[in-house]
Order: sequence, then structure tokens, then C-alpha cells
Amino acid sequence: MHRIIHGWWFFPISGLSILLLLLNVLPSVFAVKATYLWTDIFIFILLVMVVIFVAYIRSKEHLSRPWAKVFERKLPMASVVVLLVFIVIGLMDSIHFRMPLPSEHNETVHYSVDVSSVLDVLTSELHTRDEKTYSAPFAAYSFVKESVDLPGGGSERIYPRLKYAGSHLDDPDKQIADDITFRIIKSLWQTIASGVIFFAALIFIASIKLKKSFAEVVRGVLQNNTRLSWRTAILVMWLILFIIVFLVNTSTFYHIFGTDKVGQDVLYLSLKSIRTGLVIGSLTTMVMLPFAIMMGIAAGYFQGWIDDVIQYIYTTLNSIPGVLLIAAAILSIQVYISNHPELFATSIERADLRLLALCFILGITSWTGLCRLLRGEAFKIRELEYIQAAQAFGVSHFRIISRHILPNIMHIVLIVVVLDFSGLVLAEAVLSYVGVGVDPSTNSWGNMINGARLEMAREPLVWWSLVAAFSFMFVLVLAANLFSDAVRDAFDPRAQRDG
Amino acid sequence: MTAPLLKLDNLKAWIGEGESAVRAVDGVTLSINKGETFALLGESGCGKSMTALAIMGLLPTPGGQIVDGSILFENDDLTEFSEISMRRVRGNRIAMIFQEPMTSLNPVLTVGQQISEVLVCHKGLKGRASRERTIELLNAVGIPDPENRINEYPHQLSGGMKQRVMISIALAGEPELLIADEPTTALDVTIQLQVLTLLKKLQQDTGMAMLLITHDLGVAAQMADRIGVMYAGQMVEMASRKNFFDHPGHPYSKKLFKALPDMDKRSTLLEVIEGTVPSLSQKFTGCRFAPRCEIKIDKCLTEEPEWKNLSDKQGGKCHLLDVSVEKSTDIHESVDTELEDSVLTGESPLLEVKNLKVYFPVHKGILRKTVGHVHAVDDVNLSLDKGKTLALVGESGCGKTTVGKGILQLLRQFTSGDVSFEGQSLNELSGELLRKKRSDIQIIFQDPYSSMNPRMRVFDIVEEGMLAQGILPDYVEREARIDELLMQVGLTVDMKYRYPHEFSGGQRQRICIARALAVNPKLIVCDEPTSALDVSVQAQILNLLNDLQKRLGLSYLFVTHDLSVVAYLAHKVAVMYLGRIVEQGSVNDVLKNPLHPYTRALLSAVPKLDPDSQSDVLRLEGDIPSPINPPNGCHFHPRCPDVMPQCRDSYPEKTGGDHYVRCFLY
Ligand SMILES: Nc1ncnc2c1ncn2[C@@H]1O[C@H](COP(=O)(O)OP(=O)(O)OP(=O)(O)O)[C@@H](O)[C@H]1O
Ligand code: SF4
Ligand code: SF4
Ligand SMILES: [Mg+2]
Repeated sequence: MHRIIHGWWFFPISGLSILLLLLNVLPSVFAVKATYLWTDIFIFILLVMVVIFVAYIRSKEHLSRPWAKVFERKLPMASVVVLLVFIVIGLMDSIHFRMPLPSEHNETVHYSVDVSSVLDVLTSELHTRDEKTYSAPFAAYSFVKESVDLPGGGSERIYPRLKYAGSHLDDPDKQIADDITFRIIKSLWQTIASGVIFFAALIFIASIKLKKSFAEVVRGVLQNNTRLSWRTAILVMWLILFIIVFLVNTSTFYHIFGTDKVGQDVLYLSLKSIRTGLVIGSLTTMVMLPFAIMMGIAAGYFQGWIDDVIQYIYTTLNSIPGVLLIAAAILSIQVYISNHPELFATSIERADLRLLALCFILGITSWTGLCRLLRGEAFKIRELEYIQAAQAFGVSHFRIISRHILPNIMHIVLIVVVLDFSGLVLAEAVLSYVGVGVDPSTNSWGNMINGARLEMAREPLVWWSLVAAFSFMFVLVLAANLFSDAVRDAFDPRAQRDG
Repeated sequence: MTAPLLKLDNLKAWIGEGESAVRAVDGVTLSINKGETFALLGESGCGKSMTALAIMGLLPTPGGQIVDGSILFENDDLTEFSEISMRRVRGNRIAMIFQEPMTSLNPVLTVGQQISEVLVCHKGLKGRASRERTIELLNAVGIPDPENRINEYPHQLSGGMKQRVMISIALAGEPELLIADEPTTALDVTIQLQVLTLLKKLQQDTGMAMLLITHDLGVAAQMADRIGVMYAGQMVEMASRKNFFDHPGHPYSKKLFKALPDMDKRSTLLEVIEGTVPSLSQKFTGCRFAPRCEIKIDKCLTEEPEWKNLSDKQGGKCHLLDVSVEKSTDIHESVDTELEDSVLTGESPLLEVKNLKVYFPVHKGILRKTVGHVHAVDDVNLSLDKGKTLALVGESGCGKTTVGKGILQLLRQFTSGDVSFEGQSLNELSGELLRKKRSDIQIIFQDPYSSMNPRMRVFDIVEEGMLAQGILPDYVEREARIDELLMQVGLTVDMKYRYPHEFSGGQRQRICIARALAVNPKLIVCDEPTSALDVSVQAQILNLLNDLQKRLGLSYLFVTHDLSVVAYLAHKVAVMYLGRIVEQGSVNDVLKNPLHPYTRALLSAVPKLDPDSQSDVLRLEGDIPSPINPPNGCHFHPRCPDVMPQCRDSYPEKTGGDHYVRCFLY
């Protein structure tokens, strides 16, 4: 028993089983019908793998040392907190279900054809209050003139009041500035109050775990004397907390990022796009990793004709323009989907398949870079003396690869995965913009930017969709890039030498 | 009595701050006069190079700083110089050459450009004048055909040539002091001899002073006028060459001499300095050598010894400094010499190598067509009896390691010829049979850092071979055996859960030995197992190998370039030159009565401790040719002092029996 609790895998495994149990039980508690999209399944498999990986790393001192170096620094710590917020939103948007339709007299329950996610439920205020058409951020009036019947007969073209935004104000022109200021101040003190309670609780738990007094831990954090950069983490969390509180306080009274052509809240669209970005960034990697790792190691380790074949494959793949390959694959998937409507219960499942297909095809076109790197590294490692010592023992190839080569190239895999992530998020935007990306009905920053093409041509200009998509993407990509820089610094042996 | 050229006074250069700062140089006092050579001796990590960098004002940034003391260079205190004024000193008044000739030249500039850079900078020479001076300098360092060499890039030069170019760059500014940091450590003995002779000649011509940093007592004996010994950041002894080599005063210096292997110590265990150099990132109390000192007294642990001068030529930092020479060495346990004398008649040798050839293909162009072969091993015959040691000697790149790997069947696709072990031909085996047989022959590598997977614990490392060979499938038994092995090689059982990076070089080499022993081998190929180690640690490993041979009846194929190690432990010696064995015989025959001109040159190039015996040295000119297209006839003829016309036509056959040689002189 003792051995079991102390195994590194005990906590992740038990945590994951509880999660699985919850996933099974919760739908019936809330009387909804769980829907598992393909990408959801992949995302949760990935989550499981990451959790196990993290637990394993934490259990090995030599593996966690470079990670500690990452989190000692301020910038990576801040970017990880930001990334985590994105990930949590993405995960909430990956638990899908169908709501029961209201039914009279205990008949069998029917479920809505609309698939909702946890995020949809949490933000129901945002997407149930659609305006008629465009409206600017924080506006109380529509952006487009409309003919209104005057009480005394006849009609006039005016900017009508919006149906929801600012409807709590009597005279928006005069009150709106005061109202927003008031909400900012309110959010500020709410943030501070809730933050103090939250972080005090956190530090209290930490002080018990570290067996130090509460004051000591607080002092450590304030002076940034902790091993990892907790002060930065707390400050960033506080900032994010403020943003969340502010959103909660204002987004139900205004459209913070305005509305789009059909009156949908742009903030909501941007939030929904997070999942798409994350799916593209992470699933693609998951698809390509097995190819890249297996082929790269095989080519570098066995050399000879195996190497020739693998090199031939990737040079050929590399010489086909990626966009063409993607366009061809996406179009044929599109044809397949439209020919088999019976396979998909809901439109979102259809769109999801296309998203998955995009991940696969992006993965297939992008494994060559990593493969080439790994081939070189495996080539170098196989010449090292410990491999020759193993060969002199008669250790089998499989064991040599799994015990000597794989662990010693993992840092490269990690660096490349983290570096590629932001590139893939951007690639999605570009591909959707040229029309070979995700399904037009999927919320994604690429589609938002694509839509903004027409809006930017309008007079007066509708700029907020573009700005919203751009800022979300910018924050995510910036955080990912800062994080990947830190990862590279910590794991790249070349960078370590001058330390 | 003029003032010294350079005078360090209680110099302290630390890296980092606070308690855990690395006290790399911690109170060094020395002085160098004009035209004098001062050798700074010491093991790795005791602050020799840091002293040199501190003088040059090149301490590593950030973190490196001079915390105390002064550096007086012709009465200027260099510690007070700004970076800009230091730049005028560097290369001009003080020049430095580094250990690694491969990395200290800029690969994208030609040799000429790199030299004229200094000339422009410090001497204001331009154009023709600069070119002429460059050629003159290259001539001075003995580079043939300097007019053409001037346009070559560093990669086109051999190691010895690069070091010569480095020296000519250092000389370009006509410095008053030359700091040479291990200038020959990366070079072969015959090339080392060329470079050392050159340095000595240049010093006589120009009258510059030299600070020579080395770990090799022999080099110091040949070159130095005075010698300083450093230990753990401090100077522990300083003496004139004669005094130092006749009667060293400090216990550490004495031990260094005794740890050197040579022919006379053959039947004895080498004396070792237990333990390793202490970490410099701590505060010391008492004598720094105390944990390893055999004669320490109570005072040593509490009180740091003061500097004591025994005479005006010798002084040291020890409570018990004395220069009386110990009489005898027979206090050491004597190794059983029986094995050596017994003649195993009638039995077939354990290992028999016949006509071993290893040719590596050379690929060129995008189609990677094979355009030629590196004849790394060309027709090698060896035989080795049970319980004996065969030493394979030769310079870098002559194919020694490749012979070892060929015997281990690690290069099968390039190998031809026959390797038989206990009468069974290994070439005919394959698959499972070969895999089983592999446990009989094991290998220990030169570099203790790359020979272990950094991500495996010692336990897993030692266990790996046992698992692969199916030895002791029961976990408990296996664990007990691993504990036993670790103890056998002088490690402790609790070390088995640590990772390789937590060990010093010598300890790592012990782990490698334990790993090899785990599969109960009969033959171990030792590929320069001690050349990356310090003298005192080398002695520990040699003793261990010696002891294991005696107890387990192991045979060693000992690959090395160090002839003193050969003299100490080999029974038979084979000398290799460019892939072929040129002379083979018993250790006495080959070392006492060398026949082949190459063997003779090799033996005389080894720096002797007794500087007076270095009289009739046999200097080899030129570099080792490339094994891709070796010279026609006898491979050695371009460098051979006794070359005859027929040597250029054909390769000489074997002459002699047990002690044979391949040379037309016999
Ligand atoms: N895998 C390889 N492919 C091509 N050439 C090789 C290979 N391994 C060694 N060589 C070449 O074979 C020759 C002999 O190399 P080897 O390593 O056996 O020399 P060595 O005597 O052990 O030298 P050192 O003292 O530097 O260890 C060298 O010219 C080397 O460049
Ligand atoms: S001072 Fe003591 S411990 Fe240090 S070297 Fe001298 S005798 Fe040994
Ligand atoms: S054969 Fe000729 S060239 Fe070769 S070593 Fe003998 S004398 Fe010299
Ligand atoms: Mg070698």
C-alpha cells in the first residue's frame, strides 16, 4: 500500500479516474445528453498524457530541474498563467452536450439539435442577447440607421437604441461614461477583495505544506524569495482576475467588443475561437509526433537503406507546396462530408470532422522539420560511447532506442512542439482566410478575420471584429512564444553552456 | 637584481558572490623575471587557467572579479587598468596561447588575416609590411611554405600547425610575457616535442618571459626555470627546477611524483592520493590538502599553514614542509609477479586477430558516391594470452580505437579478417550466438563523460548488460551483485541511485569498469581509460585494473598513447603507425631495445622527469599523413630519419620472431 501511494503515478491516475467518473455521472445529474466530438476525445487524451507526463517529471529530480529553471523567471511564469487561462477556456468549450427540449407529460425526452458546451452555458448571457446588426463596442445605439415610425405618423431614419446593450440606462449619451467608470471601480474593489481572500487561502495551504509560518511565506512571496517566481504568478493572476470580474460586470450590459453583422456579440465569438486555435495548435502536434519521432530515430539510428527511404519521403513531401496539399485534402474531405450527411447528427459534428481533418493534414505536412532534426540528433547520439557500450553488451536495438536514444532527444521534441504551437495557431488563421481552413460555421479567429475583410471595406469602417480576433490571437501567440523561448533556454544544451 | 617582470601579490579572483562563490584563485603570489620560464603545475580545476585569465583581464563575465591582491607588470598594477588600457596590454605586452588549437582560431578567416589583424592593431603595420612580417613570423614558427600557407584556412591545417599559427599570432605583438595554457596537451608526443622545442628556441631568440601552464611534470621538467605547484586555488610550493625535481617539499608534490607510472614501479601498486580536489565553492579552514594528506597533524585541520621559505630557491605552504627524500618505496604492497613470469605453453591464445582490416568508405557529392577508403586498420595481427595485457601504442588517428571496436564486432560492415576468441571465430557468429558471446569481451572508453547515458542511474547502467545477457534474472540476486561490483571498484553501495553527472571523472571511470565487469568478461578493451584523468586519479584507476587482473585473471587490450602507462602495466606492446603494426614484442624488448625508427622517436619524445637525460632526442619532422591516401612504400618514410631509397617502393615485411619489426633496416 505504502509503495502504491508513493508511486509518482498514484495522484495523476486517481485524479483522472475521478474525472472520468464525473464525466459519466454529471450528464445524468444535469439531465443532458453528453456528446463526444472527435476533437474532444483527442483533447482529453492529450490532457491525460500531459498530466501523466507532468507527474512523471515531478517525480524525477533530473527531469524537473530544467523546468524549475523555466519557472524561476518572471516572464515565462506570467505567460504560463495566461496560457493556462486560455487552456481552461478551451477545455470548458470541449465538454459538449445537448440540452433536453422542454416536454410535457413524462414523454421520452427529446434533445435539442444544438450542441452546447460548458462555456456556452457560462456565457449564455452573451449569446442569447443578439442585436439586429452591427454595433460598436460599448455602444447603446445601433451602428446602422433604420427607419422608425414616428408617433405622429411618418417615419425617420435614425440610429435606434439597441435591444440589450445599454438598455438599463435612460439617457445613454449622458450616463454611459459614468456607468462604465462605476463598473470599473466596482470591479477593482471586488478583484482586490476576492483576490486577497483567494491568495490568502492559497498561501495558507502552502504554509501548511512547507511547514512554515504564514507570515514567512507571505514575506517570501513579497520579496520574491521563493524558488519559483510566485510573486509574478500572483500578480498576473490578479490582473486576469480583474479582467474576468470586469467582463462579468459589464459584458451583460454592453457588447464590449461590439456585435457583428447579424448582431452576435464579438466577445463571445472570440472566446469560442480559443478552442479552435488550441485544437489546431495541439492536436496537429499530437498527430505529427509519432511520425516524426519514429522516422527520425529510425533514419538516424539504422542508417543505410532505411535512412535513404525516409530521407526520400521527407524531401519529396517537402518539395510539394504545403498549401496545395492542404487545399486538396480539405476539398476532398468537404466533398466526402457533403456526400454523407447521414453520418452526422448535428452540424457541429460535421464542422468538427473538418477541423480534425485539418489537424491531420497540417500534421502530415509539418512532421518533416522535426524528423530531420531528430535524424541528425539520433545520428550523433548513436556514435556516443554509451550506445557502443550497450551494443557491446548485446542489448537489442529496441531497448537501445527506447532507453538510450529516446530520453536523450526528448528535449528537442519538447522545444519544437512548444515553438510550433504558435506557428500553427497563426497557420489556421491564414488557411481560413484563404478558405481552406476550418468550416465557415466554426468559430475561429481565421474566420473572423476573413469576415472582417468586407467590414474593413465599409464606410464607416467596422474595425472591432478584426481588433478582437487580433488581440486574442496576439496574446495567445505572444504567451506561447515567450514560454517557448524560456523552454528552449532551459533545455537546449548549447544555451546552458555559457551559464 | 632587477625588479621582476610580473609579480602577483596575494591575488584572489573569485567567480560569483557570497558564500558559494567559486574561489578559483585564492591567494596566489608569484613573480616571473625577464626571459624566465615559470611553470604552473597542478591538477584540473585548481585554478591554473583562472590565474592566467586574471592576468590578461579576461575573467569570465558576469561574475568573475578580482577581489583582492595586485598584478604588477613592470610596476603597473593591471588590476587598476580600465578595459581600454588592458586592450593595449593584451596581445602587445602580454600574449596568450590556449590549449585547444581547434577552437582558438577563427574558422572563417585565413591564417594571414588573423596574424595581420594583430600587426595592424598593435604594430600599425599595413599592406606589404604586414604581409612580409606575417611570412617572417610563420617562418619563425617553422611552417613550411609560408607564402602559400598565408592564404589557407584553419581547417586546412593539422593540430600541430594550428598551434604553431597560434604561437605566431601571439608573437606578432612582440610580447614581453607569453602565457601558454597547456599548449601541447591536445597534441601527440612527437608533435608536442616539436612545439616545445619551438617555444624554447623562440624564447632564446626574443628574450621574452613565459608562464607555462601544464599538468605534465615531464613538460615542466623540460621547459621551466622555476616551478609553482597549485592546489585548490592556492600556490602550495614554489622552487627552482632543480630543487623541485631533486627534493619536492610539499606532501602534495611528493605524492604527484609517486603517482606517476613507470617501468621501475611495475611490480608495485602505484601510490595514490585518495579522494579528489575539493570543490572551490566553500569556505576553507585549515590546510586545503588535509583531507587527502597522509601525514597531517591536528594543527592542519584548524590552522591554515603560512608560507615558509626553506631556502631562497624553495618554499611552500605546509606545516610540515621538508625536503628530505624518503628512502624506499617498499612499504607498498607488492603485486604478485607470478603471472608475469609464468609462461603459458601449449595453450592457444585467448584472442587471436589475423589480418584485421577496417576500411571506412569516404563519400562525396550529393549522390554520396564512394570515392575512396580510410584505411583505418590495415592488416593487423595480434594475439593475447589469458591474464595478460597487450598495449597498443600510437599517435592520434593511427587506428588504435578502431582495432578495439573491430575486435568487439562493432564495425562489422567495414571489417574483414579474422578475430577468434578462445579458438572460435567471431566473424562466423551472428544473431543470438554473437549476442551471447559479447559478454566475454567488454570495453572501457576514454571519455568518462560520454560513455554513460546521462539519464540513467548508476544502478540501471550497471544492470543493463546483465539484463541483456540474462545474467542473474532474479532481482534480489542481481541487486546484491551490483552492490558487490560497486564495492569491488571502490565505490559505495549508496551511490547506485545517483546519476552520472554527480560523479567525478575518476569515479565515472570506476562505474564504467563495474559495468564491464557485470557480465563476467574475460577480455576488456581499455581505450585510453586514464587519459582524461589527472595523474593522481590515473594512479587509482591503474591500480584498480592491476588488482582486478590479478584477482579475476582478466586480459586487457590496453589502447594508449602514454608510454609510461605501457611501461607500468603491459606485458606485450604493439606499436601502430597509420593502421599498421610496425613493431611488436614483450614490453622489455620494445621499450628497452626499440628497433623501428618510429618507436625510437616515440620513446625519446616523451618528456623525461630528469631534465639532464634528455640529451639525444630523436626529433620527427612533419605531421602524421592522412590514412585516406597513405604514402607509398613504408608509410613512415616521409618522416623517417633513416629513410633509404627502397623504403619508397614497397612496404617492409616482418623481421624477427617474438619481437618483430617491419622496417628495411633489419
Ligand atoms: N566511423 C568512421 N568513419 C570514417 N572514418 C573513421 C571512423 N572512425 C574512425 N575513422 C578514421 O579512422 C582513423 C583511425 O581512427 P581511430 O579512432 O581508430 O584512431 P585512434 O588511434 O584511436 O586515435 P586517438 O588517439 O585520437 O583516439 C582516423 O583517421 C579516423 O578519422
Ligand atoms: S599542512 Fe598538514 S595537511 Fe596540509 S599538506 Fe602540510 S602536512 Fe599535509
Ligand atoms: S622501412 Fe625505411 S622508411 Fe620505413 S621505418 Fe624503416 S628505414 Fe624508415
Ligand atoms: Mg582513440
